Amino acid sequence: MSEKNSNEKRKVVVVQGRDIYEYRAFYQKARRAKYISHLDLYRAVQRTFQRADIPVWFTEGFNPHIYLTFPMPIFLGCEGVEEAFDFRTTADLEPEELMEKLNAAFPEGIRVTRIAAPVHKATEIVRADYTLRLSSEGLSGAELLEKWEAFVSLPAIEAEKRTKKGPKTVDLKPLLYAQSAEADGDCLVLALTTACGPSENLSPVLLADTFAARYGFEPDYRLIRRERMRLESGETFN
Amino acid sequence: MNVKEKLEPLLLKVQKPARYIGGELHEVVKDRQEVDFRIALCFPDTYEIGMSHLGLKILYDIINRDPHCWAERVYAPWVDFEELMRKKGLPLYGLESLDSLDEFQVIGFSLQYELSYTNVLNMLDLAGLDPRAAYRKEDDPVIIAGGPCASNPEPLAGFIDLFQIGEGEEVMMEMIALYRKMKAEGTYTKKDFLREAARIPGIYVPSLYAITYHEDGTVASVTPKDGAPARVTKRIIQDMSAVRYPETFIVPYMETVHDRAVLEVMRGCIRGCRFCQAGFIYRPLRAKNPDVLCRQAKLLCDSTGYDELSLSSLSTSDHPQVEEMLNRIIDYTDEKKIGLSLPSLRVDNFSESLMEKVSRIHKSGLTFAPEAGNQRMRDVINKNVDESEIMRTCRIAFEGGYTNVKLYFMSSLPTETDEDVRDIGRLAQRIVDLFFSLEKRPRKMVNVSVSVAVFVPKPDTPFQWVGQDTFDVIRRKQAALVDSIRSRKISVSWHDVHTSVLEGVIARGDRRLGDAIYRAWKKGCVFDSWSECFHFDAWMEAIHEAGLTPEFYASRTRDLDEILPWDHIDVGVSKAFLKHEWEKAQRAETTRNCREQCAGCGAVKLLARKDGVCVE
Repeated sequence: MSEKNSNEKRKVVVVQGRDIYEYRAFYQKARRAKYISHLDLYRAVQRTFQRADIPVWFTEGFNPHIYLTFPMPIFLGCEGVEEAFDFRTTADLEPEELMEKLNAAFPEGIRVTRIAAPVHKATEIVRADYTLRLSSEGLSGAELLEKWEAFVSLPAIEAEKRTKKGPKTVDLKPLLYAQSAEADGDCLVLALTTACGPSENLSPVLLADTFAARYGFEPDYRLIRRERMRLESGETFN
Repeated sequence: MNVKEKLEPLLLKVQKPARYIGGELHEVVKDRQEVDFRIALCFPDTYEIGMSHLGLKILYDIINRDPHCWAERVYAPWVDFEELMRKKGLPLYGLESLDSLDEFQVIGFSLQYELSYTNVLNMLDLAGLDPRAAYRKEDDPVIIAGGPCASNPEPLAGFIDLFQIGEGEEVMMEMIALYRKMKAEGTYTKKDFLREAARIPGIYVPSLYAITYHEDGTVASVTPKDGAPARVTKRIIQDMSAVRYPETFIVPYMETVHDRAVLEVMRGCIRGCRFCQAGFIYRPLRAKNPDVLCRQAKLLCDSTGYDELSLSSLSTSDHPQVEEMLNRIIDYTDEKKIGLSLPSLRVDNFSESLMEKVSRIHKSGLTFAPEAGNQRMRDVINKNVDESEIMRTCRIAFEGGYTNVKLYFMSSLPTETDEDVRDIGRLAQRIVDLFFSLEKRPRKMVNVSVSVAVFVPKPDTPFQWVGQDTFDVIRRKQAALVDSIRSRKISVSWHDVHTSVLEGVIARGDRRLGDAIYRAWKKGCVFDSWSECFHFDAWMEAIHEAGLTPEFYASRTRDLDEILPWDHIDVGVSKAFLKHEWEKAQRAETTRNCREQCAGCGAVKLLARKDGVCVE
């Protein structure tokens, strides 16, 4: 594979002597679509390409399939506003045209907001910003806020994390890079920046579940949204 | 009531929340103010299974085409979500609107298998309704049901207000038209509606039939009242090429059981396998022409983006223009890189050219259904396949590169001995031997997997009078089969004995059995077809508490003159024909397929054209 003639609209890669065009689509995942898993989303996007009649590039292996990669997959239940997937086409197409075709074919809740040549590598992502809204029956927002403030001032936040080698106890606190909180009616609204990347990762839901378990209440999540993914420099992933 | 607010926080606490939220591509959402008739199309099993069912997709499309009507989907919540729904007071709701079921005029259930019946009761209860029709209120929705199990509606007669017998496309819209007309005229009461509906051909209103019983528990009489017909004849679509077929499917996010475009190529089957209820109740054969099929295939695949197309029928290789149909569809699917799957192939007409067409797409495994291990048994069940055909097919498959062959069999068939069961193992061994005798065999190792179902006698088949094997006999036969298998290249799997016996009880149940179903549900039985949820002991208790025995329904051989609980439901084939077939079965005599020679089953009377033949 070699690169040539790339511009800000798309990257050109050569596969077996043929020019292939690589794009990064930024999309929003909201409303009912937030309840689908990454695998479901992957399949939904593949089918969208089939319906949209885009000359999408298929992998050339034993079992050809649409080439599609997601830099940092979003988890089930989480809305996204600046999420990304990469795809390739066999024709040099305008991003606007691709976006129009994809959006006409996407199901409710998934919308592409822009398409451009990939700038960063997925491996450069190290953190992400999240917004969480949660409530619990019988507790006011102010009471939740008070508990939260006590929670984040603990010297360590121990939690059981599932890993490939079985469950292990980890300290979540070093993976929580920044936080702010406020009460809103019966809800607690959190703005969190946590580790997000191939090596270190902290799901904000694990953090909030650990919070709820520590104070013995059952959380009802009203909103979980990833706002953006960032690099080490703080720059937004592009 | 709209449940959205209450629902959302619950979804993150259950497995697979995508089951419960709707919002998939191509779902139909309408303005509540612009429709006057709302119907919930319920499938009494999980989303993944219900979303795979073609019949409800067809009805959803046909009903939603009418601007006055809105049909929505409802599936049975899995036990984790049901528990939360009950705890938080969340009623069952439609996936499109997220409105609770009390906003609907009609709630309909698709009855595909007997072990889903407790889910029907449970879903009615989750909707805030009494499952028992007699206890429901005037303002409650009308509860209807259809599907193959409605050919013996009696076990559910106490729960369902109205059954649609046969194919639903036309009778559904006729029923809806009557409902809307009576509402518009102000003449609607539930009782009057049901009485009027019973005059529509194909509609059975069980409350209009009084059943009496002999002392031994058999039916003494069935008496219709209020002008209901003495027999309800099933509906069929006369011209399959002309009837509307969905141009698109709802495309689920999560993986469902049949997550692909499904094209129905024909209805009915020419074969007459004597165990097969579908083979009798869907008669006569009606195929779609290749032009229509090509158009429908393209519409479906283009609009859904599915990369797999399945050609569905009871026996796809029996389509009258199978080669032309396949050639034309493959031209399209190849170009679009769409995989083609052909379920229901027969061993006797699986040609090399057909094999080549299928194998161009993907080469995983082949599945065939010899059904029995020797010729006498195959003749008893009228499978009309001989061993040389099975061997020829396996040879074509092996030489074509396949190494996994899956074979479906049944045991506990009528007249079957332990030796007959051992012949299943011997046949599997001969297939393994065949593999090693071939010079052109693939280098991978052969695997013959043998899947054995326990035969369940079904209504409207020549075996409807037959007593099912008892537990002890079924177990003894299973042991005999396991004993007959010597090779590690053969793997055997069984259907669960307990579920097969319960299926045997319900399939030929009468109206009295409804009490047992109600009691079983009260004891917590739901999702009976899921082994992790199945409570056989609770079911047996329920049956006994209802004053009944499982033996009366499952293992009792009926007298040929007995009034059967489903005799007043006419699926087209005559009782005289079924009796004649049963007698031939006992002599191991076969009957030729409909295309070779008409056997005079009687289903021709359902056709509007009166030239006396069903098959071209």
